[in-house]
Amino acid sequence: MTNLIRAELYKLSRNKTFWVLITSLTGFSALLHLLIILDWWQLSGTEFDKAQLSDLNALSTFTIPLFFNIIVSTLAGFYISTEFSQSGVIKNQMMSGNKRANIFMAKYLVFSLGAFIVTILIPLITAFILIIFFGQGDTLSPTNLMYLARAYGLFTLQFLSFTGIVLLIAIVTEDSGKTILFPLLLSIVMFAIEKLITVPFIKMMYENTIFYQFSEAFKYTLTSGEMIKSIFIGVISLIIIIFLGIFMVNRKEIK
Amino acid sequence: MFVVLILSLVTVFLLSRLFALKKEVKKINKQLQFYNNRKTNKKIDMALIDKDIENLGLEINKLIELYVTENRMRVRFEDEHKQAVANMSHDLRTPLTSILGYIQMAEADDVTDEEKNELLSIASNRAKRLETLLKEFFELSIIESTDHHLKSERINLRDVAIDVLMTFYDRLNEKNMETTIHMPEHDVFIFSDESAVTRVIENLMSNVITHSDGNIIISLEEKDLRVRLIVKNDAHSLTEKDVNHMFDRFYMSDQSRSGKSSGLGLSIVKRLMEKMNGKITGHLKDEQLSIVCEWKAAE
Amino acid sequence: MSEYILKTNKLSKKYKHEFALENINVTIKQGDIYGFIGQNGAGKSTMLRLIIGLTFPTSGSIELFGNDNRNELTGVQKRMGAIIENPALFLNMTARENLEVHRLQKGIPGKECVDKTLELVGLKDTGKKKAKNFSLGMKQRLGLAIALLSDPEFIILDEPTNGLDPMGIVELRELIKKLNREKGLTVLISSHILSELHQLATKFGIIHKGKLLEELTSKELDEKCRQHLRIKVDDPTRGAIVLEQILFTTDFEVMQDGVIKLYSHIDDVRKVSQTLTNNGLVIEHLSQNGDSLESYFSKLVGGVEHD
Repeated sequence: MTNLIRAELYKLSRNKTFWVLITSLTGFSALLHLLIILDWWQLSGTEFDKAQLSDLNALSTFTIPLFFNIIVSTLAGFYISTEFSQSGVIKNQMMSGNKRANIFMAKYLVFSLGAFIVTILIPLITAFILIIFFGQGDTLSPTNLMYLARAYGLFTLQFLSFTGIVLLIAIVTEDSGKTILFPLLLSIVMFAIEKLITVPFIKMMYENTIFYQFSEAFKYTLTSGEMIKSIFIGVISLIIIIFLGIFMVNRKEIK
Repeated sequence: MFVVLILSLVTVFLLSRLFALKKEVKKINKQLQFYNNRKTNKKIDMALIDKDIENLGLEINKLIELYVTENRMRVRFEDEHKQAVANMSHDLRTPLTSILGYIQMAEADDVTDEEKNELLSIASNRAKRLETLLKEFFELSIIESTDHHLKSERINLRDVAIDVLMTFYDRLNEKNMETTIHMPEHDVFIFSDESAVTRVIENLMSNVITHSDGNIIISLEEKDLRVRLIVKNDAHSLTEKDVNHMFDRFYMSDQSRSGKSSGLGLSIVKRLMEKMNGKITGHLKDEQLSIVCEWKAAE
Repeated sequence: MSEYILKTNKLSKKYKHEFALENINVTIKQGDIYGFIGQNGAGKSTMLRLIIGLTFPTSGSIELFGNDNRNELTGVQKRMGAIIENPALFLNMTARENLEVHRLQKGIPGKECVDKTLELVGLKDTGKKKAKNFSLGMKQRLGLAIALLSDPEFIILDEPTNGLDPMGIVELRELIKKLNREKGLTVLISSHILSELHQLATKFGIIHKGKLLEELTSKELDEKCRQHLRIKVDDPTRGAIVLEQILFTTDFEVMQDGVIKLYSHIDDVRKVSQTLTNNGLVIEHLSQNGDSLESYFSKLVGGVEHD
């Protein structure tokens, strides 16, 4: 398993798309934060406002499923799907004498790490650097940091299930175009359910998915009951998705 | 509180590393057991987590490779030996059949004395050729045996070559072959066994005399501490394939196994050259065959 | 060590309703170079894929290194290397980087194996050139390097000569022979051209439309494919003399059982038989034997077609 993770890291660190995403997102995130901090662009009504963290308002952009979806599925498309389609290197890995379950897990972990870096870590780090740079360091008080840690902790948990879903789609479709498209459709459907559907049953179902929990994670006030529920949903989804992934990979016929 | 946290983290890290290393050693042990029970020739693999363990693995793999190649060499040697015996019986059968055939014909009642004599002389010629073949075969097997050692003396290759070439003077004249000889002005020294070198040149000359279609060029040169003896002759019917196989045992370009030579001459040359730590190669260019023998020059 | 590297038993693979492979029984012994011959689409790749564990059989079993337990597959895979169909490469990486990924993946200790393998296949000097800029021949070599990286005991090569120039094919053949000789490497190599493997393989399996038509050793193949007259007379020694003295040929062999194989006068059967009879010999058998490799192959394959 260690070997597989090292091999995956080696590949990720040489993946062009990964580096393009890192540089462009660093630039984009820095720009957004700059606009917010300099008050050239104002967002209101975000959860960050409630937490007296208006300077971090730009972060809310990166927590919208539709937005990070594009980033995550692009990475999946050019890091995971290509191995199946264009170059066929997946064959070599599948016959390298490693268990398919381990291969899946290594891919999942490294892909999630990559996605985590580009969609969560980079916006946060750029935000911190800019805030400190512009002398607003005191916004990062212990209470605020605790809030951020809790919010991002819960968010990351849901995010791990999301990367799992994207990885599954990448492995099933074996095509980078579809890998980008399908998760996007999923997010749009979820978005539509949230905004348009009023049927109570569907509403209830939706509130128990990771998609609803993405926004829940950032709620300024969260009861411990809600928190446990969120963790529960995240962990259960994660387990289901990983089992599904391993089951699928084990039966897959490699072309 | 903070110190305790750090300390416990360090402990967890060290313990998990210890556990991982121990697991790795177990895994290596298991693979070596499998190997030592001769269940596999596979080199070991491992989780690449620690440089030192990785180096250990590398050395173990070198050991495995050494054993596998040595073992393989022994098997190959045995196979070749079996093959050689099989080849020999095969190669002896056809001439022997024909000798017996001639004798049988000579013994028949309805042949005249004249015919009988002719048949017997053919049979005896064949038998002589068979004798040469056996002699050469014996010689080759002696050269190939591991306890056959060559001397390593400082000899003057130029003198040796000229001496051998002189003995072929009559045969060359007889066949009307135009022979050009290029010898350097100065002496050429190598460390080798004089009788082996003589045998090499003799065999090359007999080969060239039997097979050449015309001109023969023999040259000796010394360059960059390498000494080369080149025997070149016209060979219109030879193909690239023949050249590739000409040092193999019993290989004959006409496949008929009826020519004057046994097909062992060049094999003997090759084995001798190998034993002398020299090199021998054959090249075909513009319908000319050159056989190049190369030694290291002595200071 | 088990004597058989690979043994399949009634191996079948069905796609939808059509059999891609049907009841294949193949055995490969330690040290064999097994040539797997069949036209494109005959089922070669499917077979190789099943063996290496990329797909799963519909029925029948595969025994590798004396082990037919599917759960042990990963342990067995570690002892093998393969190129299936096109060589699979990371196109944006150099040759060295490609091998490094596989070294990590397989857990081979020491980076030395990377350079050693590159040298073996003749790709040592490619430096920073990325795999996407390689010629087809170079890609094949890199694929081979990947297969050989872990020093496997058994390699599977699917049409490895595709895209190689004649010189490259010769080099590949020599390399395989060398590894087979020096390390006892067992090889399963597929091709759609019989003559391409003729100089190389020690055993052949001929497959057509998912069925194994024939399995034979290279000796048996040579026997079938060197044209000769097979002559059996009441007195083989006399027969040999007659051939030598009257037909002026020495291009024949006398076999153990007294059969004479005559390699000349193949188109002159009448003359041969006449000469033999005129000299008082009784001909018990005289036949023309041997096909060219390709005509042998197409006869075999064609025979099925006309069923």
